[in-house]
Amino acid sequence: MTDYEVTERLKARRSLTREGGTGSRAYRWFTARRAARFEGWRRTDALVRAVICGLGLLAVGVILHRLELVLIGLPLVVGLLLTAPPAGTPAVVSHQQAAAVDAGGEAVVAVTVVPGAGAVFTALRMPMPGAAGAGPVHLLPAVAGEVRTLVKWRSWGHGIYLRPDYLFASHDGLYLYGPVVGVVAQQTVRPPIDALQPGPLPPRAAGLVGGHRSGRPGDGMELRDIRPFRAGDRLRRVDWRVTLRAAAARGGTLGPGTIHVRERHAEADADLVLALDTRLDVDSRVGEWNARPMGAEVRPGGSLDIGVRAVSTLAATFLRHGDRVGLVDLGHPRGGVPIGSGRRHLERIRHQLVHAARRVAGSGDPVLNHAQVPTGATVLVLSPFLDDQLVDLVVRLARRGRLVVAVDLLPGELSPDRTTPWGPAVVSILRAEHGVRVRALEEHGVPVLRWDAGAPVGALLRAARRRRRS
Amino acid sequence: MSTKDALLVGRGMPALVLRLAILVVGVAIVVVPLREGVTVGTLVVLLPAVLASVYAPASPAPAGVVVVAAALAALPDGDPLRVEVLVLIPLVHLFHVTCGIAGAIPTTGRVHLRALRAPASRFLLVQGVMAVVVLLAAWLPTGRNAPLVEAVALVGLAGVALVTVWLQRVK
Repeated sequence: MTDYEVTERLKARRSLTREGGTGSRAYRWFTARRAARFEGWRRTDALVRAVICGLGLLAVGVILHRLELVLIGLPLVVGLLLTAPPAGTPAVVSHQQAAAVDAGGEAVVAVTVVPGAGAVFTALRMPMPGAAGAGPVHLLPAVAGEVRTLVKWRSWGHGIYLRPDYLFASHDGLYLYGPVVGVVAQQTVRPPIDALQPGPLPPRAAGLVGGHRSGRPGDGMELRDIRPFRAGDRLRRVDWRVTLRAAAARGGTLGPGTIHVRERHAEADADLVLALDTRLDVDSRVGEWNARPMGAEVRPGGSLDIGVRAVSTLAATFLRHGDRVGLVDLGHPRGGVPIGSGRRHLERIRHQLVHAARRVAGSGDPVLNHAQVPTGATVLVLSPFLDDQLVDLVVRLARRGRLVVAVDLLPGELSPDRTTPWGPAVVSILRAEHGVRVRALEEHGVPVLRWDAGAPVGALLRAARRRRRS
Repeated sequence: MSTKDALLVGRGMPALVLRLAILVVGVAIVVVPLREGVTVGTLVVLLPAVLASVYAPASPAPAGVVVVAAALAALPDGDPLRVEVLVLIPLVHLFHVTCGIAGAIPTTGRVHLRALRAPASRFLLVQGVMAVVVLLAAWLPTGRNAPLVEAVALVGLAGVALVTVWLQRVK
């Protein structure tokens, strides 16, 4: 056990007794005296060893006339004589970073070290280069100035990126200062946005502006038809080339029926609701489904991780096209984001995804009601589809005439729990039930796709829209 | 401060390397008395103390290693400047220094070689002083000293002890 660990334990025990509040003045005096031993620079076992063993061996060697004892003890004493006790109050000041960053990004994290006179080592907790998290304790030379490390945020979520706990040591570890717990710096790492080919969403009936061609005539750019002039048509819509050709066919006179106008499609915006199942977070290891993931809020590569990345990508893609996107948290009705558009809205959705992923309950009924889905909106439901209630909700929504697409997040390969002989049977039953649910969705006109199959959402939406038109 | 002046944290080595160094130096210390034929004290006292030091370098165990190694070196009646003793001088000092450094960092930490430059140069300095002392001891005549010299030695030793303790006051 190191000095670092011993001091950490004593500090923890001290804070416990402080909370307990014995009330005894004698006890408080005793604990205060003991606490004083851990304030500022303090002597270590190494110093006691050097003083007692070094001087002791010298004394015994001189008295007993044993030169061996003197020669073995003397280096310890020489080391002591070369060491001046450290002075001053060392400190480590951390530099704050942005409160939110994007997954996949990197930044230089820095702290300023003020070691004081006599400090030779700094034991400083810093992130490992190219990794995230508070990191291990690094034994570094005690040099005044900045200590930097490159941090890479590979996974999304909310967590600590810097906690510069520090301890200073003099030559040979004879004196220690600390350990001192550093100021915790936390950050929200937003889910990544992958490249995705967007598909056409069905335009809203009430939409007046937007990037999508509506079936109705309007003031858009795309040509819909060329037809004879009717009362109410604007004169600037007259197609003079067709009109003159029609007039020439009728003997060169501009009469009724010869004037033609260009009719254009109306442009409408489209609504997309992304419904994410945050009740479950499952990966390919069935035996681990009930256990909490170690060292992370979600399972890397699990259904929730893939779902959050998919929602982030879809939201970014469709918002970039001028569509309006909303988020529905199937596990927590209040955790959604109302439909909206713009860059700030995308940031809101990504932040909400990080918070939603921290509340995985593992159970509960899904909530996807009519009020959460605006009229005319396309709904993408992302879930591993491990329960019937969600399938019922999705089918009910599709029957109301909404375009609903299901994205299956259940891992393709499930490895059975090896601790029980029933493991393979459980996987078989899970697969069979899941297959029934997927078939039920498809029979009710809900296309089901897998996100890991190249994310063909664009092609699927295009096909679904074509099918609806016909 | 410019980027050039800043200290960039690399990957370093696992702190277990320090424990491994303690083990290697400790085993080397154990081998010396074994070669001199002192087996019982070495295996019963010294070896467990070395292993305890590897587990807990910031404990009294390394002090036990220093004392027992010195005592076992003094047991055989031979030349006080024989090879075994001369080997033990840097080994015991290195063991003491390595335990002191290892006690400042948890086993899960990372050690950077830059941090070990200053202790290494200091170790060499101390060993340089010791080389001079050994040469001086080899040069000085052996045999019985005059009582006055003995008394001066004891007073000088007491002086060294006082200076050492006075120097190590924490301000």
